[in-house]
Amino acid sequence: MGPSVVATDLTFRYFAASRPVFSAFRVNIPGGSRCAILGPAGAGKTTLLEILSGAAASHYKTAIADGRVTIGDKTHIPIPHEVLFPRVGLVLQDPSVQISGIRHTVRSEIEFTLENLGMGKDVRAAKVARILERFSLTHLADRHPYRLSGGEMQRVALASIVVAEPDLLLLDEPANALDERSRNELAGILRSISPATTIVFTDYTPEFALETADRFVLLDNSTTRFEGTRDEFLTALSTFSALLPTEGIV
Amino acid sequence: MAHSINDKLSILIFFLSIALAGPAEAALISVIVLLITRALAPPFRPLAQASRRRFLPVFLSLVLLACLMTIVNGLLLQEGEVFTVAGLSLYEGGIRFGVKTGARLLLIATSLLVFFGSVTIPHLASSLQHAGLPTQIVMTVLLTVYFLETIPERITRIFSAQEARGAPVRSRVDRRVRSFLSILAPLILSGIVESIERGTALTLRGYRAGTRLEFEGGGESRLSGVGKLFIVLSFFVFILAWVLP
Repeated sequence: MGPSVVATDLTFRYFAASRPVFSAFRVNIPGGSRCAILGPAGAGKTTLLEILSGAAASHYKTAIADGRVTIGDKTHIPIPHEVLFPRVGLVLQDPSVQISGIRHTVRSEIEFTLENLGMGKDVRAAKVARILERFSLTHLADRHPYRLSGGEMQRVALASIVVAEPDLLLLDEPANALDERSRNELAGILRSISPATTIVFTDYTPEFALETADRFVLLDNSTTRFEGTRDEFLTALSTFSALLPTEGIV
Repeated sequence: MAHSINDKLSILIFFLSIALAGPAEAALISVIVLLITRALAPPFRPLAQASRRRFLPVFLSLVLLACLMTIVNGLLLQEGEVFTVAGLSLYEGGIRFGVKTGARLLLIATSLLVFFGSVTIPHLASSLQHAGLPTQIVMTVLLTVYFLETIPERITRIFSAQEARGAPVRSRVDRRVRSFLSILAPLILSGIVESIERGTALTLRGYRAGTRLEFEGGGESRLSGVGKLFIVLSFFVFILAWVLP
């Protein structure tokens, strides 16, 4: 079972920002769940993922944080102060940024992650071959990562993180700018990931989340407006129309 | 045609030595040789198709710049005979100096363009790493090359966006120049933002400063007889420049 994620009284403010992104924020994501963090732009979704991955403290050194973040059995006070990869993997919103730009094939692009982890050549080759097959990327293995469609590039970016087998997988608006086919493929991939990995992803519309997630959190103005199961979310969805586009769902 | 990166590097050094120490005539002949090589040589990196297409416009811009330099020097350096061309009084000494400087700059730029256009990024990186450069510097070079390659595409994107907003990007030259300023700001800003994001993304994939990188096909960096010959020729150019008046 993947690790649970608990944020307790979390406060986070970027240096020189007039107000904090989070103030006494709380969230509880059970281990092994596929949790969707929903909310309008500026709700704090990306910042939350950056905090959980360790990127926030590592890259915004002047930010002010308070509270407690617990991932599995490890408690970080106030937040993870270094990037927690490979235990925690974050897939950024723009897959083209996640592609390193220094590798010329999809295969070696994915392998780059394992090189960083110091794995041997044989182990790397076996792991990459497995992930290529699992993510339906085998036929693209020798293509340049930048010569792919948006959906394919998104799969490569995701594969380059999943290949490290993180316990907690974070995805920032993974379905953003994907066509329906690519979105369905991505939803299938996320559903195929075993509960040994907890998945947390963000989105500003509920459609993709309803196809993929079993746990829902709704953020508004940096506070949790809703936290619950899929059924509970569907029941309450009509009351969120001011925050989420619910047309055609409710 | 040399394929080892060290051979190409020795050829580059040879052309740079001509540019720095050789006469203007030799520099101009070298530029022509490079252009012919560029036109005939097939093993230019396939992933730089866009930069290959842009080679000629960039080269023509450099020629224009060299001509401009010659005219400005001809006007300002008042030595020797005076020629009147299209109402402009140009001095012989100034023109000579302008042609010499322009030819040298043209050769430096062209040889660098041809070198970077004919070397794959993994080869370049591998060679730098073999030369003992710290991994952080190799990584910085790689990311810079990547960024430089994306600049034309970025400019096109921002250009289209500005045009869609009614900016006079296809209007008179003076208006185009003014609208170019509106392209520069987003270009610089997007470059800064992306470099920060790219750094974050690399860290998020486990890259740490100092991690030794591996590159495909990075083994062929030996110096062949051709490369050694060009290194000797480079020394020869400097010795000749020192000996001859």
